[in-house]
Amino acid sequence: MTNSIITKIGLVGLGLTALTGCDPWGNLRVDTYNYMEQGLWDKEVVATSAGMYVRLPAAGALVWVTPDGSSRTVDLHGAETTRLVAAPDGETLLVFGSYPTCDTDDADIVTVEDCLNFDPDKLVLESMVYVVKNGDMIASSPIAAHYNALAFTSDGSHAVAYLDFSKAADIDFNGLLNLTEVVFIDLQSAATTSVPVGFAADRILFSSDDEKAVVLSESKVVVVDLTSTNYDILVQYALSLDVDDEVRPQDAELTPDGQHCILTVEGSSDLYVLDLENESINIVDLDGAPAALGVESVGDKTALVYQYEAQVDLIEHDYFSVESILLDEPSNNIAVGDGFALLYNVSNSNYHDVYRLETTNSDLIEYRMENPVESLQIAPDGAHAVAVTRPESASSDPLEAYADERYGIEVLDLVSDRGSHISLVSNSQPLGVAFSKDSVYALVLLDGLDDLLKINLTTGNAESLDLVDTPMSLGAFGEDGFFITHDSALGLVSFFDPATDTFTSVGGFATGGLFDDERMLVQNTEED
Amino acid sequence: MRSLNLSILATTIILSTVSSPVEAMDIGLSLETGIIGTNGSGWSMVGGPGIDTVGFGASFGLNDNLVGISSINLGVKGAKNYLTDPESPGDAEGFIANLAVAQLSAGVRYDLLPESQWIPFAAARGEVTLGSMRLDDDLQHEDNINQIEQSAMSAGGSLGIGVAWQGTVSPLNSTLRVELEGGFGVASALSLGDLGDLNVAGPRTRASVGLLF
Repeated sequence: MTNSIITKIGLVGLGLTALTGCDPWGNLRVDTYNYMEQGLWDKEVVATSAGMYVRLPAAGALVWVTPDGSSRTVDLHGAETTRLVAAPDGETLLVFGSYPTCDTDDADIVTVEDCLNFDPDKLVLESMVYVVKNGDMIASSPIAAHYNALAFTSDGSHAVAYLDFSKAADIDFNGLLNLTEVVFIDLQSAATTSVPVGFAADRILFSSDDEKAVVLSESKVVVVDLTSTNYDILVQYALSLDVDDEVRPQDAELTPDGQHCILTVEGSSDLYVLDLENESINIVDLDGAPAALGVESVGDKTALVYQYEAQVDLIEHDYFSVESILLDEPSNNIAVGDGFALLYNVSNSNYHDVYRLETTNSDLIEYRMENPVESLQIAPDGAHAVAVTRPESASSDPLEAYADERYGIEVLDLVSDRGSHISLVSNSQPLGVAFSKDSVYALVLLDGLDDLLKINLTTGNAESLDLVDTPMSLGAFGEDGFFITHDSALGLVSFFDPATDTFTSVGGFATGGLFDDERMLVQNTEED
Repeated sequence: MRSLNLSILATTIILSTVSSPVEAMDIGLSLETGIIGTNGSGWSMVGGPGIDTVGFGASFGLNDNLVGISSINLGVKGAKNYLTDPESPGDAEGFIANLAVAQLSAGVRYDLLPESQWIPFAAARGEVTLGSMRLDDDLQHEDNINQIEQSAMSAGGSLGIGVAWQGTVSPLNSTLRVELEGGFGVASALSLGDLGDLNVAGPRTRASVGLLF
């Protein structure tokens, strides 16, 4: 019966199509223009092993898009999503959101509009965190709305929600804000536990066995036992003995054995080394305030670079002695691979050098880029790295000037002892770089180009693959796949299978709830 | 002033081809135009509230006062929707939403003074509205993957009151009937599946000109 009705409606639809012309898509009538403040979908999609999650801000919904070409709305029991974060297990998604309730027993009030008309003060938004797997919500728990960042254990069993002050514009709270707590979340049950850790905690580290969390806050470091039911605090470290002396951690890493936490402090040349087993603090005096640090596990050393000093410090993890190595140019960023650290500079300067520092023998190999580096990524096998370079002031030499004025892709050979690399000039800004799992090639998207470039990392040869529409971003998907988002209002993503060089495009997923103008209230129950 | 006088003259000539008094006729055919009133903010994406329609109707006399009426009306409307947030995907081109509707109605009309030239009347109709929504976010490409079509049906009814003018058309041995009508319709929403619902309940206006045989 239902099919019969649908068939009839379809036939009438065809009739209406015929009435509006032979090519209805080529002659869609436009009477007026409409301007919408919110986009239909959020380009910051989140991919998991089996599909992709996309927020629909205008409709307040979350959709699950899969490579088989289908998409559906994730049922979050009426909640509107605000933030998505993927857990490292590749399957779990944490969704921050809220659902509307009306503080009244009046059964006639069923929509948000009803409640606003009744009494705007009665409308309450309940903040929640939802655990979603394979497109289905499996657990949920209330959480304060102001938490805007998450850190996960490597096994994806726990997460810690905290307030990232660098995204202060996102902070959403009513009344009072408790800045001395973080919230531990059990990702199986979504159960949340608040733990007092100190003022403005904004950095969380986990031990390699995922049994301890190290929470860094202002002038304080707290170690939390993740195996205890109440997330007991094992030990606290005061970074300052004077309450007037605020010590704000800038960067922190755990040593490979998990025994020490190495942290730098904003504006300070002191390097704090916390012994997490013997509860002691060692302060190493450096030549200046470090710009970045990276812990390398093969050589078991930490590398530190400085914004203005052409120097890298290498610190071993037994006695924390410092070995300083001079560079030709300062580096302010570090990417760590197995057995080496790549040092590069992404400040708005004219520095071109990238250095490979072998952590076992302190050998330094210099790579000279054509233009200053904008970003750098290491291939999964550690044999190559790809640097995106940006335009700079043009040289007087015509050939150099051509490259100077353009973006570039540089493929660094990380096995070479001579700093060899392949320079590719790009006629537009690279939007994204991703590596194949076997590290044979890199995929690159360029702004304004409706192609996906597949660059062989050994030869530098680029193959161009046609895309269905203008791309916006590129990311890894599943075991060895990729996804590409497109600049399309109604929603368009492509899944790329590198084994067959084929794309599967899924569109129209952003139209869910497009015309709905009533938002239903959610009734609070015991089960909720 | 000269053009106004010419208009009056032309109107007089046209009306002189028809004459009173009016006789009750059995069957009528008419051309119609109208507006299907709507409500809800979702209509802003399709060009705002109300759907302009054109169509034709038929009537048959049941007795001196009561007339059976039916009609079919078609309407198309659409809007280009721009996304003002520059961070939104597709902000430059936006998308078009276009809706084509066919409204079938049947009911009865009660003519209050059927023998007079000016006839007040009331009408009650059952309505079925069929809609076909089309969305497209890339008009440059004929094979755009995001050409989305969704059909829907709404059922309901309307009540209206109006006034008609009737006069005999001598050459055709028939009666000219001109109507103006206003009313209100209540109907289920056009349910466009995952796209959501569009509400077609609201005011109804209709004008028609036809012949009674």
